[in-house]
Amino acid sequence: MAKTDLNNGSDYSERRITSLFFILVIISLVVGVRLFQISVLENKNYIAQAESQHNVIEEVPAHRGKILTESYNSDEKFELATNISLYALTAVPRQIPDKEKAATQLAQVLGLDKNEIYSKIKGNEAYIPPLAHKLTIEQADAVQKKDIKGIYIVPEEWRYYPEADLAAHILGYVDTEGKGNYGVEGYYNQELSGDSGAFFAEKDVKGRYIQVSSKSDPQDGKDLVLSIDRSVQKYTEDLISRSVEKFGAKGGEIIIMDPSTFEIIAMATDKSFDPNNYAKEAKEKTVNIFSNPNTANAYEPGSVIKVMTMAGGIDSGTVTAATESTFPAFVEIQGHKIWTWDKKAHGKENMTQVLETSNNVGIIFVQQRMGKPTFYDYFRDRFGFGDKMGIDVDSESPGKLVPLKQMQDVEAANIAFGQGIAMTPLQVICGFAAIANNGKLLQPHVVKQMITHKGNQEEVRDVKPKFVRQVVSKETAAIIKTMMEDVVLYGYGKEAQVPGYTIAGKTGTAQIPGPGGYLEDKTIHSFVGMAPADNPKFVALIKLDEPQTNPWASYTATSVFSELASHLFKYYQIPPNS
Amino acid sequence: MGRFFTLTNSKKSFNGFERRRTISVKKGAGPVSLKFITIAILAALTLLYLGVANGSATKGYSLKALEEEKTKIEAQNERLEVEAARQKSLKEIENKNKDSGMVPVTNVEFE
Repeated sequence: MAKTDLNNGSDYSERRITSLFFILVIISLVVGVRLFQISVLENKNYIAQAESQHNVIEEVPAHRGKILTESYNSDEKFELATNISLYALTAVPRQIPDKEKAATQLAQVLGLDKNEIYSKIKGNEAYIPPLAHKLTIEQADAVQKKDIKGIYIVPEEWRYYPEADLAAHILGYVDTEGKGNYGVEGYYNQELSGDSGAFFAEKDVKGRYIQVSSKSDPQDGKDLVLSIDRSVQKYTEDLISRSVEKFGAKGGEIIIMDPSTFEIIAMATDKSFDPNNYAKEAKEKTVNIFSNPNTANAYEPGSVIKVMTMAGGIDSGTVTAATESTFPAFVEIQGHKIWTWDKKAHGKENMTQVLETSNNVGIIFVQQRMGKPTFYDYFRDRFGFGDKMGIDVDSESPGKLVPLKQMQDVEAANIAFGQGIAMTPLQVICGFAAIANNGKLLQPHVVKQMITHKGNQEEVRDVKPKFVRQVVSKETAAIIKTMMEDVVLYGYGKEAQVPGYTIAGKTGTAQIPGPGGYLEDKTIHSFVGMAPADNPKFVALIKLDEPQTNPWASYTATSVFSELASHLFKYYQIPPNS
Repeated sequence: MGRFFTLTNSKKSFNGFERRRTISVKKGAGPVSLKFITIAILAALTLLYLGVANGSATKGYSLKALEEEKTKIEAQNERLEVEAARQKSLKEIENKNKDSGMVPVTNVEFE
């Protein structure tokens, strides 16, 4: 009996062991299959996941290049645009346990509105735009000391303009995304931005970097040195503001250029802005405030353009300085009467006197003698009017010149004395600078040097003046300069004189187009002068919009030029030559 | 009782006790010993690897901390440069010199 029991017990145990064995086999198979699936079949996925968790690629931003300027006779470079490291206050609302308390603490530390902060963080988002920008290091430290969960301080680099609104239209501004807009910031955005670098690193569970496995250094942006003279720019901005006020004008511009290089020495307008607060400026003034009127706004320049017509007439051999004719009070073309400015007959005049007395009928005589094709050739193809001058700032207007095929005779006559053509102040001064530069037209520019940083070394590259074309011959240019000297000595440019110096120039009192023709009693006054006349160190354009104190440029813009030239002679230590 | 105090030079005692003296021991590694040695080597290698990895990680932390310190100092330097630029600005110079009694140049004599 016992043996049978033992046998039965033994069988039962064997069955249990066998069952257990099979269960273990099945479990092992399942685990094995799963292991095979993970480590062989899905191997790449898991490796990628692991790498993405603990390997990171971080961008190392490049520093934006600075914009620098100099003053005459000084080796020092002054920063017009530089960078400043500040901090942004960011929040991850879903990580903030007590939002009310967080808002209160932040409001106390930063002096912000508690309710405004609370309204931004009260949700449960993973991301919201930064709560505040441009925190100083003291403010950032104060926030970090509070140790508020879900609140983070992130470093950020901002553009800073130490001279505030000085040369603002030349500089432009950099927006919150680090992109340059208008001016040099816009035109040279790529050169100034540089190229970001990156580093590849392993991170631990807390997000701290363990090891940097490889790194590519950023290439910082290039520094730009402007041709603008800091002191002259400041003086010019003050001068135009005072002049606009003095003459009751709506606005005004001044450009000063070095005719030997076409470098801009100063470019000023009475309305400026602070690029440090461009967003506020756009709201308070208008977005057009950023547009540089010297390069972007075209106007009918009036009688200053007679110099170009005369240059074309003399260079083409149509007339000489001594060519004479008798000029009536008006000339009729295609049924339109075009009068002299004083509505009087000027009688017998030579070409120099035509410029001295700013005789509209006299200049039409020159234009008609040249013929429309030759006249158009000088204006469009040689001086480049109706086309951009190619200055290195954002937003330049080409102005407007009617194409030859569409140009009526009366239009050509109007254009000869600067009406019926739209030009920017830059185009006007380039025309005169070409005359001052022995007939050579160069490309105007404001950047004269680029500095590339390579580690601890600097590579300086000078921007060489770019020759565009010979507009008129050297001999023609000399004759025109002499004629313009006579305008200042004997003509309507007398107020531009500076005792002891020879000055060549031309006035312009231009009508402003309006509905149905031109506006009554509204004019733009301008004077373009170069000095010293025999070898001009500078060419300057003065423009005043709708001055109220006197109807003629010969009493407004000319006196501003005289004041400017007097200052520049002292500044550049130019001795008298007359 | 007497047999317990009997002294004899012989290894053998006629009471049946046998005293043995070890002259030499033959040493050998058996399977168990091999397992222990293998495990010990593996453990040592593991500890070595952990030590190196840990050392590398801590060096990495130190390096990062130094880099952050460098960035902070560079940022401080930058702020000082920016302040210097602001102090040199024409507006600042103009404001400071308002009460200095300086006047613009009027007549210049050239020799």
